[in-house]
Amino acid sequence: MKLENTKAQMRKGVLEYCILSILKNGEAYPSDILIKLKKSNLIVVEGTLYPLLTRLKNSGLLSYRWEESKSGPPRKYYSATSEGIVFLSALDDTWKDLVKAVRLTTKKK
Amino acid sequence: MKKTNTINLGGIIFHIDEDAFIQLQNYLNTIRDHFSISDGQNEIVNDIESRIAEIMQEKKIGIITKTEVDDVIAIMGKPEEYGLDDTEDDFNEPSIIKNKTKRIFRHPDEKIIGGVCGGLGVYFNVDPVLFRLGFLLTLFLGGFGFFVYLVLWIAVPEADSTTDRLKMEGKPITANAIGKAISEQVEKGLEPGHGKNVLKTVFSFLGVIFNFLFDILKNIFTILGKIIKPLIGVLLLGFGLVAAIALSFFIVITSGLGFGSEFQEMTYTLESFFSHFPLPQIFIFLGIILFIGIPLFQIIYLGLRLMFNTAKQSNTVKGSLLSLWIVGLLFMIFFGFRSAALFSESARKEIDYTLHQVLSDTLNLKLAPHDYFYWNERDTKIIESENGEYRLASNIRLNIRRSRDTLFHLYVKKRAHANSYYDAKDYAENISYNFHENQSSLSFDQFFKVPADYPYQQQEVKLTLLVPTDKSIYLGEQLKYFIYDIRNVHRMHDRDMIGNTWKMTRKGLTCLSCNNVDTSWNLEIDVDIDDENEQLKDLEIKLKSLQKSGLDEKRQLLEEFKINQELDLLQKSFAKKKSAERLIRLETIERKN
Repeated sequence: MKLENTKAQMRKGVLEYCILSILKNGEAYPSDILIKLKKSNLIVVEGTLYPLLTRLKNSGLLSYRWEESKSGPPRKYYSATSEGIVFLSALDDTWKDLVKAVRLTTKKK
Repeated sequence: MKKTNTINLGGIIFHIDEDAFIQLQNYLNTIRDHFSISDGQNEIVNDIESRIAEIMQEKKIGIITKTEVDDVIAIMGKPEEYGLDDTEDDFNEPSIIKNKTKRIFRHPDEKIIGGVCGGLGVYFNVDPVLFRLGFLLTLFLGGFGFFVYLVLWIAVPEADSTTDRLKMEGKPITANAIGKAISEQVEKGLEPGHGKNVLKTVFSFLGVIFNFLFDILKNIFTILGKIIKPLIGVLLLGFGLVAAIALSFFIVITSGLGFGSEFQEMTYTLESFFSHFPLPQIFIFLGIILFIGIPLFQIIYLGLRLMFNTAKQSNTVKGSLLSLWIVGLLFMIFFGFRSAALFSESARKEIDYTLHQVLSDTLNLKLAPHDYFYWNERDTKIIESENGEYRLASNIRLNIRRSRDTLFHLYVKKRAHANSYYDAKDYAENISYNFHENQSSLSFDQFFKVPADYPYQQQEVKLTLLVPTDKSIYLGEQLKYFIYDIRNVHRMHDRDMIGNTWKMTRKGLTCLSCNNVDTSWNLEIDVDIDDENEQLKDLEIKLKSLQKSGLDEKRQLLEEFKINQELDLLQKSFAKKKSAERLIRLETIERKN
């Protein structure tokens, strides 16, 4: 069992939760999301984000619109769909439960 | 100096170094291979391309070099580093390692004729030129290499996909490796010709000629195959069907369902066999059907396949047929051993009758009248007696020799086979045979009798009539199949001797009633080596069985003494007769010349 694998598994679910959380308050384009995620050390390599975004978009939790950019390629601005919002609130509850559960089980007596 | 390419990344034009281009392309391919189409492969790659374009633009450089590509790859990361794969993937590692074992393929890039040597080179990690030289050399040594090459060409597949290539090189099959392999192929394509140019040209030339010849041969074989295949198919089918019919016919007969009278001897032999056999009769037929029937079935099947191109049998069918055949084979081996054992030992009983009643100079030989008269049929007959107490068998032969005295004698030798000498002796002693003599005639029974509860154990009776010198015999028509190989001075066949009067002279049996016959054969030294030989064998068997007889030591030794005494005498007379026979043979040759 590799530590890297376990770490990646732990991060995997959390990442989707975080992306949805970022997009809850308004639209963002991948580079913005990357900046936030990198700041919090949630992702190591940028490549991780794109498959995730595609997956969330394909399952109807996100949508995007194109916007031209003066300095580079056209940008995809992502936002959460209403479905995504419902999904996120369910994740919120699960997260709180999880945090509680983890704190209880790992607490030193 | 470096070549520069122009690429379009996310809709923006970049200049990029050749090696950096290959590296970037390789990287993007790796990502593409990592995701399936259902993952949204294209979209992900496009998004990543856009992001790379963005990063490159931020760097504000004129030409992208390897350094920039390295940076970008470090930022974006490899697909394995995304940590998005399902957990099962971690456990898939071993299967990837399994694929690491090298497999032999024909090498599509190192190809001069069929890529066999290239493939061998990769497989054994040796320069393929060595193999090429090897094949060329063996070509001159009886053409052995030619056939090996042909076989390999046909048997070894070409590595035409990237996956095959990786298998050929013994590399693990991962997205990364595939991408790398592709870029290596691209690289090779871009810088062609690295050394070995002269050799390559020579080999290429040979290769072209060889390819041409091979194509012609292939075409000829395909055309021939199309014509010959159905023909062979028809032959196989015909043979298989005829043999199958013969087999079923045989089984119907021997299982006693019919046709009895024509195959009596076989029927009785089988009956005797079955009476000793521990398994029901059906097992033997099952054995025969499996042992012979399955190959026949396969022949018919192959015939049909060649004629109509029907589907191949599955391995399961083949396997079960093979195992059934082995079962049949085991049955047959068992059957064979059992039947050989049943007739392995033989025993004989011999009686010398002196025919005192004969007064006439000419003895009339005939068959005794009997209810069952089969004298004009050659086959051995075995029938039940009317009251069912006996079994009657016509397995009798008559021979004629010169008597040592002035009287007619009839030797009756009864013989039977069994799995032990004592059983065989019992069977032989229970043969009863009758003949009838009067003043001028001797009539033989056509059958000998065996008690009905005795099985058929190849019982037989051999008669030898000893005729004194200057006396005559008349061979009646009915003895046509009764007499066997009678020596006469004319070297006449049995069937020609019938219906004639024969006189025993000093030279041998001489025909009195025949016209224009060669009388030059001198049988003065009458030899019957077969007889002596038989007696010798009998004595040896007797001696051998003595140890198993259960007699007390004293009697055993006494018996042994007697037998050895007899053996001594016989061996001497045997030696004498053998030299006599050689003398006759020599005389024969001299006369011919």
